[in-house]
Amino acid sequence: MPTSLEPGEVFALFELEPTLDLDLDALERDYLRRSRDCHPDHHAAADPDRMVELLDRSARLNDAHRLLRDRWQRAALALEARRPGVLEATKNLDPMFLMDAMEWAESSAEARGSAAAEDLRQRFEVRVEESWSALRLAFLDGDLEGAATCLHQSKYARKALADLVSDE
Amino acid sequence: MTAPAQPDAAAPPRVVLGIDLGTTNSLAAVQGRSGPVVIRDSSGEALIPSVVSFAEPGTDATPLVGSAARARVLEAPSRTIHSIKRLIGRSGDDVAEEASRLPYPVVQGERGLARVRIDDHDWTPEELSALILGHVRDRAAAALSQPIEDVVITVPAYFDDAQRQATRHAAELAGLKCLRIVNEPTAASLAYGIDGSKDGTVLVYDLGGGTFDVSILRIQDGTFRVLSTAGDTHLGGDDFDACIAERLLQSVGAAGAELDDAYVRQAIRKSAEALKCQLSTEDHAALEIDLDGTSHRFEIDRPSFEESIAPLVDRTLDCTRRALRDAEVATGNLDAVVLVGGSTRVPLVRRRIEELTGRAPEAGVDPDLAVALGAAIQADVLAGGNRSLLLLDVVPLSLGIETMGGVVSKLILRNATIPSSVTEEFSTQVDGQTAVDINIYQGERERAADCRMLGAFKLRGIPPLPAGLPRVAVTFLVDADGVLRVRAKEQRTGIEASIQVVPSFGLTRDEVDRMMRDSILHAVEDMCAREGIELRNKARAMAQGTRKALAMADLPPDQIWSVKKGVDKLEKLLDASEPLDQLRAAVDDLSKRTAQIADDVISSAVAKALAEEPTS
Repeated sequence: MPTSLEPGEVFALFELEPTLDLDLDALERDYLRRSRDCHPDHHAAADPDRMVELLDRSARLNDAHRLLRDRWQRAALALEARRPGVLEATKNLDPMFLMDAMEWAESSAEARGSAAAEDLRQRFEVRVEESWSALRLAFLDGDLEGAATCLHQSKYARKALADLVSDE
Repeated sequence: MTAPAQPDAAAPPRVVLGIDLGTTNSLAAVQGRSGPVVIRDSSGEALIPSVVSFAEPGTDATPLVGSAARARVLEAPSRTIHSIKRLIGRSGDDVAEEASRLPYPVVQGERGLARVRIDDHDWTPEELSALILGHVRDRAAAALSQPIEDVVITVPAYFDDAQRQATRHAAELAGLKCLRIVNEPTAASLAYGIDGSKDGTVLVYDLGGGTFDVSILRIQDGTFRVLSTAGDTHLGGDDFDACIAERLLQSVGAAGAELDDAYVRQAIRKSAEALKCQLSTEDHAALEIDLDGTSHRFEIDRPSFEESIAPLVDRTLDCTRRALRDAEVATGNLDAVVLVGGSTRVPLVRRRIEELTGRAPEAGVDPDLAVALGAAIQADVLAGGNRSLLLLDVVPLSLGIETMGGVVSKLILRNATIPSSVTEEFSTQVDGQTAVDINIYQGERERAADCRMLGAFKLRGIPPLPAGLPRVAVTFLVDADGVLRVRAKEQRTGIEASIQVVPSFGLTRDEVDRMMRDSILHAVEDMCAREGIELRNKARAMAQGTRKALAMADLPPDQIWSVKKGVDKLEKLLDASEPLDQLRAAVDDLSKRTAQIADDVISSAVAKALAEEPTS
């Protein structure tokens, strides 16, 4: 997702440490509270300079909130905030894994719209959750490279799942 | 929610009017002391037909707007403009297909823009919309007895940037300051949820005369946050009419009627609309149309009507599913379904949306008034009157720029909450290149050719460097109106070259300025015309009021005779459209006659009213 925020800034805007686990309801409440302070609508009489500043603050807050709500985005940002460059450094995946991943993509394309799709959907969902659990565990253990690898790998299962259920 | 009464007398000093500028009808509302109130005319009518009609050539009369214009639909089909909202902010090519169905001539103007040709003048959709906005403003100003300068105008959520800018220009041409463009379904959700007891996830399905929108919102402690929106700016009740009209045409064509005639087409369109409305309450509708002196009888039953509109309704349901998916909301998690827009009266629409969501639509929302009421609520927020409410809306379509190979690189994704801002760096493709063209696109497709071009930039003054070395930061900022602003800066040198966005499908700054100047030249004529309208309204109210007072008062016969004579004269002049000074003289004369007896009238009327009041 395009953004111009630095990874650490996304968390800092909500006074959070870079983390994977987030109470989304609490985030939502905090976001709404902060939005009230800086939304241009509540400062319609502000002078142009102040308005530019408010627009910028609101836009950053909106952007950060959007990124944090998505757990995969949040994971990528938390990893980069903790160790800049870690995603780039881990991007080459094990060829054995990539063989499996190609098979997923093929079976997803084949099963689309067929009776086998539902069964396959459940399998991919389990794989996606497995990736998330592995990522979390590595992150909690301080193994940021391992977590970053899990994040890269998860993309293949997520893509296969999305392709399977999309109707486009 | 909808108090039918006129706004409170002691309105806040600065009135910001909320305007629902619709395809078929427009209306306005304003925040009163106890909530938003719709502006109505003296006969209680809130809806103003979004129709402009031009007098025959040679006559100097100003264009008619509203119901007076709609009355001329059959009389002057090629000079009476309806559904102008379908053309605003669009190119002639965009609207070619539907323009062929319109009874008035649509031509291609500068840059391929759609224009309406009346005699030898081409009118822009902005100017025609401005006439409607001006009429809405005048009626509100009269009802509120105070001038209106600031407005909030609603547009379909799925309007793109060009259509939003064009609507802003229309307001400017009408001499109005548009404080905010608000999305129609969002406005409707405000009207629905304003009382504070409706927290939860809401689906707003808005099917108007020419546009369809669906939005999913979360209402929580006075915050209205749009989660997603989807729609179709070319789908509405007009298209339902067209389905019936198609059948009518076949039927009367077979009977030998002249189908190319503007009158015939307009008569058929009107009949189709009437049949559709009948079918909302009846299982079967029939009417007779007089064409070329021959009477044609036409019948249609509800099942065959539903069969012909089913593909259109299916399209709205596809959009609704997409909006739900984008919002990551399952139908089971919806807390309310709100239907707005006159076309949601069609039983098939209600049935299908109920099947999809598994919920009965909210009954307390007036589909015609909700959008204007919501606009008034947001107007009050912007006027500083309500700090407890916050609206967080989204961008309906992704925004990006064209990069190598004709691919669109998206900077802001659809359904991003606004304000939204993203900066990305780009570079040059050729050694020594000192300028870059930046083409801005809106849409979901990958290739630029499949998206809608919003405008083009040229960033000049880049230092001549090998390709790939200059760093051009392009910033997209979508403000709280949903309007895009773009900045570009060469990072290495810090040069912020001057850039001008040239809208592809709207008016340029120069054109707006020129039209403003032209309208100032016409302002004197307009003022005379308005003065005439005001005087006539005053005279009419005076005649009616005096008659009423006469009936209530106990007066000597000679005084009754004297006042009656004054009233008769005034009414005669009103009917005859006499020159203004005669009317003014008659108004003055009647005031004199009644002034002598005013005290009598008032005291006796008061005495009578007191006597009639039930004792409690």
